[in-house]
Amino acid sequence: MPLLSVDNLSIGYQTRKGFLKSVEGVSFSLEQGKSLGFVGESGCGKTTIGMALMRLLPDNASIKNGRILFNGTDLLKISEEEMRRIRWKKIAMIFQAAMNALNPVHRVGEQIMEAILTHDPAISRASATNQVENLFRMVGIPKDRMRDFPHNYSGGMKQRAIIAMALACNPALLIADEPTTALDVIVQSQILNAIKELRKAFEISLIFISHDIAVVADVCDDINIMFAGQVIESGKREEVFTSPVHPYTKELLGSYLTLDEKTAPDLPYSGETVNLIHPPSGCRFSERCPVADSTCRQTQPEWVEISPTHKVHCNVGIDVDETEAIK
Amino acid sequence: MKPPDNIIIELEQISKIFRTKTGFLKRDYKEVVALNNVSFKIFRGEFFGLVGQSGSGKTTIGRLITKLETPDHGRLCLEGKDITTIKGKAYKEFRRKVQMIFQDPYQSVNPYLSVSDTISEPLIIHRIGNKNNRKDKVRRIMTSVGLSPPDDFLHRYPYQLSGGQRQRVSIARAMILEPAFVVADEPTSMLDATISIQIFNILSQIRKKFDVTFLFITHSLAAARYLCDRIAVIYNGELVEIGPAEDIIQNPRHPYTRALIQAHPRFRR
Repeated sequence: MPLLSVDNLSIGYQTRKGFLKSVEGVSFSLEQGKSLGFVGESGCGKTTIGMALMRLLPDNASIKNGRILFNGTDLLKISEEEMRRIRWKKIAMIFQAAMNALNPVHRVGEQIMEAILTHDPAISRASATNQVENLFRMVGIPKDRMRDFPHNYSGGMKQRAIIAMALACNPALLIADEPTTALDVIVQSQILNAIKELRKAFEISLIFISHDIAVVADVCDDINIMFAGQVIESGKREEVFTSPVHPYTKELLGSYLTLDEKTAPDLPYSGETVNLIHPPSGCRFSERCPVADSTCRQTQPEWVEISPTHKVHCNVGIDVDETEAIK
Repeated sequence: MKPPDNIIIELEQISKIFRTKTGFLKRDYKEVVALNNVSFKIFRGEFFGLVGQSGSGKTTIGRLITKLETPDHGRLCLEGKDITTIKGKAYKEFRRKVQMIFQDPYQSVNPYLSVSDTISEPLIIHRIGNKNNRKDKVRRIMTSVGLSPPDDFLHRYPYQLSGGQRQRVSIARAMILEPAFVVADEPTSMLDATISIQIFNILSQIRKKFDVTFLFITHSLAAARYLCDRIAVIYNGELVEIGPAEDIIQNPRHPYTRALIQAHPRFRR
């Protein structure tokens, strides 16, 4: 049984202009110890999925449909009290820009200790201190910086402290939402290495959310590409990055600037953002898609299986003889 | 000695020190050397990249060139004229010639001004043109930054624009005075990869069309390589390497440049 399995999840936000369908029909599963990446541009719903897994969606959000099975329990059916016992102890999250949310008037070590003491009131202060020391060592902050305040830390160190806090209760699942976005390349690669090492050492399962495909490729075994609230391609890292099928995945990969080759990236097809209050009846990418035909604009595409692990939500560009629609 | 005509910006041994207060008393302060003895030249018409990690001093250089900061030591020249301490009329003239595109279009565009007011404001301040030909000019510039047709955008407010469209507005605002030199400080760090590429292409089209020189500040060597003719790498306030873009990427000499290349994320291995 997978550690986490999400089935047909749909989430929306009540806005002044109407009900905005932020996430629609998203299904995925994550085995113990594996890592899964969500990639897509801003507004595609990737953070909404992360927040739904933590059951921390804002008040105007509602989950329309779907199941979130964590260790066999449906997180959407349990009470807030039961969820409180799972949150941070079993599922922890590195929130977007969390390093700016460290409390400026408390010492960093104290803040991490607070997380431990809150979730495990039985533990003694001495052993909690010990635990914080261990966490600091694991994420690579010198022990003598425990008594410093957040403003004494650099951006990279703050992010390490946030990771330490997320790992404080030894969770089974870690959700990392853009954990390196505000950092420069050198610090970013240090943080990514730290995450990879910690994941190995603790066998933590990881959900990694980012708009940066290369960062996700660095950390994740499996990749879900999202566009306008839907997953449009999913597969193993190698499958998605070396043989992308969906035109949007190709566009994303093609527009990424690398240092490896001289070739100019392809210019993406621009277009207005998709209206998620009244989404188009056909494929949501069809407006921008270079190979879309009239069928694409009218009917939702089917999921097409490319390999047992690689599937794509698109009708065109696929040889129908070799593959069969799975739904 | 007068420098040759093809040099547009020259930094001569520029240093900048920031003082941060560490206590209540005036004597309690710490000095941070943001730039230490930095010299380089930018040639007319070139796309010049300045690369470094956060805190390296790259934004400070941009702010010195646009005179949002004054250097503590050294000399800054525009088209051979010393502009380190200019004031009054000469300063206003300088303001027309040198423009800046800021990092975050969500903060650098006034939320209470419509697109047309934002873009035409510099013309009003510098008393250029009259009401009618200002409108024409705004429309023309909007088309060249890809806000077309202009009539669809003229009366919109920033909240009705996407991040990429806002950044186009701030490019149009910088270009409306037809400056000779533009500093673009991480213009796409807040945008998605697909939008970034579009902004980069607009910048290179604009360079050709308006014959303008760009200083492009970024932490991404890949972006600098894509756009720039020459790249300077800055580390801890000091210039560590400068040369043609391809040379810097293919044969980095300085260990820091190598570290930057090494750290650049890759997905094709």
